[in-house]
Amino acid sequence: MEKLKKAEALLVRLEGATLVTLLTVMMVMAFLQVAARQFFGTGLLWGDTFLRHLVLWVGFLGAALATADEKNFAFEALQTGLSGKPRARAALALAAQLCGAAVGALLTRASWIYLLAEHEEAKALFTAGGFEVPAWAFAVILPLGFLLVTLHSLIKAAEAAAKLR
Amino acid sequence: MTILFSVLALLLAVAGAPVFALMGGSALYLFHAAESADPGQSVIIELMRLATMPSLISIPLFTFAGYVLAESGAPKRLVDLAEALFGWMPGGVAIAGLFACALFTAFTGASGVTIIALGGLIHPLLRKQRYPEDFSLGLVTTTGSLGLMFPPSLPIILYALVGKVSLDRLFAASAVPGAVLLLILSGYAVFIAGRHKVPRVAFTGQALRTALRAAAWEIPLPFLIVGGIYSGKFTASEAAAVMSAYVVFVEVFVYRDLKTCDLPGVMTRSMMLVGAIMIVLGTALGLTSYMIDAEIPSRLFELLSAHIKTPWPFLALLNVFLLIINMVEIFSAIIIVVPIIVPVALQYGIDPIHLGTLFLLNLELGYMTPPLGLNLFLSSRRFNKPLPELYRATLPYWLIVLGALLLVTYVPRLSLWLPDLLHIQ
Repeated sequence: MEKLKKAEALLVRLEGATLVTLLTVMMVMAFLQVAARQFFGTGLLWGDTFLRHLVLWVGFLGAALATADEKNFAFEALQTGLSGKPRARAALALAAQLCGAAVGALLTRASWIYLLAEHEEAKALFTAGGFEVPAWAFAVILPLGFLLVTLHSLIKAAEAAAKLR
Repeated sequence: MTILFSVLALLLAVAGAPVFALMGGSALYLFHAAESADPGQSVIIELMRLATMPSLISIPLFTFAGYVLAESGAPKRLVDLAEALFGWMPGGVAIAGLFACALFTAFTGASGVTIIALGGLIHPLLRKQRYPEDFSLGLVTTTGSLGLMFPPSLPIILYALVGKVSLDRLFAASAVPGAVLLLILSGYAVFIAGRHKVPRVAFTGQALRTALRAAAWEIPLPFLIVGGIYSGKFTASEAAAVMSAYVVFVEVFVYRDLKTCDLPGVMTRSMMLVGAIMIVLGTALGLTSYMIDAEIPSRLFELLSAHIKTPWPFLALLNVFLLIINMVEIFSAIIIVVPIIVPVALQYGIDPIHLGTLFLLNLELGYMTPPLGLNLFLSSRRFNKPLPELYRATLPYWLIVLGALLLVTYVPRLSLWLPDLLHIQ
């Protein structure tokens, strides 16, 4: 259990660092786009498309961290009401986390297939400075994000299972 | 099979399974049951539509800016300023609390952070002025969501995205009912102050000057954002970009309330909320697309119209239904319910913007509706009071907000007046 917690802490640090980097890029670039539009009446043509896809990256990393911190939206009243009965509560948490992991795994698989199809198609999302950026490069976050959510759900499930014994 | 699946999903929901898993799982199952060629792709292709929503970027930017404000000294400066401005009036300190909370909630995304950040400042202030305990407790609990009718609150953005209505128009529409509610609540504060002979605070130019000087860098913010959006100078997304840059500049480099090294923490905490919203939004898109394909809204309309012929009783029924849903979980409620009710309401000839306003005000009421409203729990934790005491303390406020909701529901002009006046499309 201790090893698992350490491994998760490392993963969370990595996710956090990536998220902070991407969000900083997003904020700076979004601000420069507005400034360019207000003062020069123009901005980078591909800027808005890029930013919209960056939101997906930031969002999925945020969702992974939310799963690690058990901050996903859920109906919590029953679990909260059972705070006096730790075993019953752990059993509910185990079922809930396994449900998250199962659906997460299905969606990881589905988005992996989607990513392969996008890669096959090799469509350009936008052209930046003569360099064609393919659409699949941004779609990487779908299987990656769902995989991270699944992993964190499994770790939470293991923690709940440990409380059952 | 479908019955078995529904029972399982319901049990898992009650056990506390994450909403995104319930949405995604249901979408996968329903596409599978409808013999779709590839259920997984149907869900993922819909999810990818997130990247085509133009206002989506305003959600992370506004949320981050709100978290920065909440963790800085802005709440204290805001309360001081409001007290210096309104404190001399009858009921003045309570009115100051109402306005400060409304403004703060609008700017921090109405995620309950107001009760934590401002409630702790305003409650002792009210008690010191000898306002009754129930009144004070009710006020801070109610005001935790008072600002969600004003731009740039997160629920408005989310509603516009999901309901496919113009965000700028909805920003203008919801502000008028929000302002009316604020006025009614201020009137109630004056009444209570009079009945309990609460002393007034003397107005001093000195106090006002000090408060103005302290908040000098934050005062332009509402004008910049709200003015920018209403005048058409910025879109909501652009306003979000400006606000996040401005807030970081002011709180980190001017006031130095936060250090640069605090920012990564604020970023990850705020993006957890954004991520939790986005993953539900993404998976719900698949479920919604199934429901539209299966013509659930038009079937629902057929079913309803057999019994309900006119819009008015429909709106009454809708409000009751929404109140129950909104009490449980606000953001998920918007994401799941809006795509189904918007087409039904259109059939009844209800303006989608009017529907949006009443939905948002219903959310506000849901936040404080017993037994499960979120504000009640936050307040109970923050002020260490048992829930039943909060149910009693918020009852007068609950009735006032309910009255406002009826007004907004049955007087559509109230919502449509400002956007029409400003010609916002």
